[in-house]
Amino acid sequence: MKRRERRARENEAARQWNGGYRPYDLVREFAIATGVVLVLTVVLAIVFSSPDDPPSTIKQWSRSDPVDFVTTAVSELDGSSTTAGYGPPYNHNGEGQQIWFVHLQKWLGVSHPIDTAKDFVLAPLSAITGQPALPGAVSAYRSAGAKQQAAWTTAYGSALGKATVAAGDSISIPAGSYGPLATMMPSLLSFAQGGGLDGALLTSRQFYQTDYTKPLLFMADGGVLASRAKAQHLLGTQWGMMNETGSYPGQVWLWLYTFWYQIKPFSTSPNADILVLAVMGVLTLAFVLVPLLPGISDLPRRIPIYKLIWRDHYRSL
Amino acid sequence: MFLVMAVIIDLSHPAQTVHWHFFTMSVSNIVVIVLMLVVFVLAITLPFPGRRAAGRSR
Amino acid sequence: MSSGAPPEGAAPKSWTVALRERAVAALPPEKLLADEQPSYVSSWIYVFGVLSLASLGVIIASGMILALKGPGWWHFTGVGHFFNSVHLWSVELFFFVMVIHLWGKYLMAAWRGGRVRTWVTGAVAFLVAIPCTLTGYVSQQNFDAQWISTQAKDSMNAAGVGSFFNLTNFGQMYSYHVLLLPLAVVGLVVAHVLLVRKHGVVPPFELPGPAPEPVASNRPAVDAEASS
Repeated sequence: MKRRERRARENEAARQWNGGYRPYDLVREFAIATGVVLVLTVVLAIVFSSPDDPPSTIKQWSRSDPVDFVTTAVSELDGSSTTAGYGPPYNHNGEGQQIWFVHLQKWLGVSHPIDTAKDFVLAPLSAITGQPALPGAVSAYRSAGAKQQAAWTTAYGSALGKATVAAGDSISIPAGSYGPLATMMPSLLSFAQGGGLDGALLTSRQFYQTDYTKPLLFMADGGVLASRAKAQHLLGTQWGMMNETGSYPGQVWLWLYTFWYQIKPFSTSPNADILVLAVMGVLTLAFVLVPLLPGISDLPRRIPIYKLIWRDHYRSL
Repeated sequence: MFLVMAVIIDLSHPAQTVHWHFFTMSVSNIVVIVLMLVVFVLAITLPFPGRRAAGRSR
Repeated sequence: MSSGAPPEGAAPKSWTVALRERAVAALPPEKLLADEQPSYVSSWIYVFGVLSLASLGVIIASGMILALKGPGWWHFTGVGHFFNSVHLWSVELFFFVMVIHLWGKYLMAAWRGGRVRTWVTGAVAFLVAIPCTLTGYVSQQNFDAQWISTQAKDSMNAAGVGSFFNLTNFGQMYSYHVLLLPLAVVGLVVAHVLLVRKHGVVPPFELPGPAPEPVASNRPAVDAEASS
């Protein structure tokens, strides 16, 4: 008998059970299951609690690692940071990821515009009062040509490689030709260390705000989040997608999703995310359509586990 | 200020991990996976109570 | 109140009556809340579906308590942190039992006999639960939320989804997490359970070899018309 005929016959036979029944209390079963789950979760909650590592703030970051903060700020200013060159949905400075001819990232456009120089550095600096030299410095930077700006940021960036942390979490760099950056960056640092930059980046659009994109992207461009993540085994290379902070179990069900990132070609591709999504998209569709896939849908019949599950039934025949 | 909770078993320290070639997994996740397999095997092997012979009339 | 087909030449049947009759025909009360199961339902693997349902119930209940005092509450009180712990562990338990349920259903080829939609709704419910969990993780307002949102945003952005689903926008993620995605999960789970009640639990595979003597039914023949 051909496979299709066999399956059709099997399906017809499985539609209706004409054999014996026995009493079964579904509602009581649900009540017992709820009780069991409640007891288990309460016991687990009491014994293990749950993790709650406090969030990083720009204030903390700029105090604990002022050199990294200022280095990141300079990269936002000169457009060399990850966010600055990201492309959509933040700006047009990058192509984004693609798979074959499909450029979904580019096609969906810039929906959350971020100009890193303006949003992360110049606009917050313009809001600071009580520093007479600052407005002039910002204005001088803005009105300088691109080549001059690049010269200042390159020089300052190189100097940061030799920076030391001085009193009050300020930084000290070798003397050099930094133009207005010599005024702007220390002002930004002290504004950040006072907590002003966290607030300024959050409420830049309006008073009531729930969108943390700007402060998060700024921190993500630096090292503060990644260094905490590494200590907690949350990096991609540590299969971090599956993990939770501390020793708590994480998202075990993401094992296959993170697996692809660990192997070539995904691990070395600039388009890793879209490639992995494409592979997982195909597998997900296959998972939903298992009943219709020959081979996959035939496998349970060949694996004798069903004989174990239904052993009472087979014994009674 | 975030509350520091008293717990019976403290899981707040960074996880111990198992490494094998490129495979890395936290011990807690491995425990969960092993538990799932154990529970599955128990579920299909342990006898289910209250089974009566098929065909018994009510 | 009318019941049954309208008499010849009468006004068309009301939508309410039509819907009610369709619902009752598909799922009469004694099928919706049956007090018996086929004799082959005799393994612990069968309780993992109801355990998944129960876990989902605890997730929603603990989530509702967390929502009562707003998203920041649990960071600053012992009671709040306790309910956050219940919420986290019930999610872990939910995936734990649901995956075991999935393994069992696959190995039983539970889609046989017209039960393909049961498999599909269950699979999609599992898949929708994953972004529901993701939106929960990024709504925690702690370091874990910061890390997950700044990392996972790259996947979203690569697919263009980030242009309208912004993981770093707490307000949006919280809305998806407490309302939109739970509604989707619950809707799918309800459809899944109703399909199980409608089609019944899949019978065992027929063993290879000569067909055995059929087991006599201990029920009056009632469900032939009611089932489809």
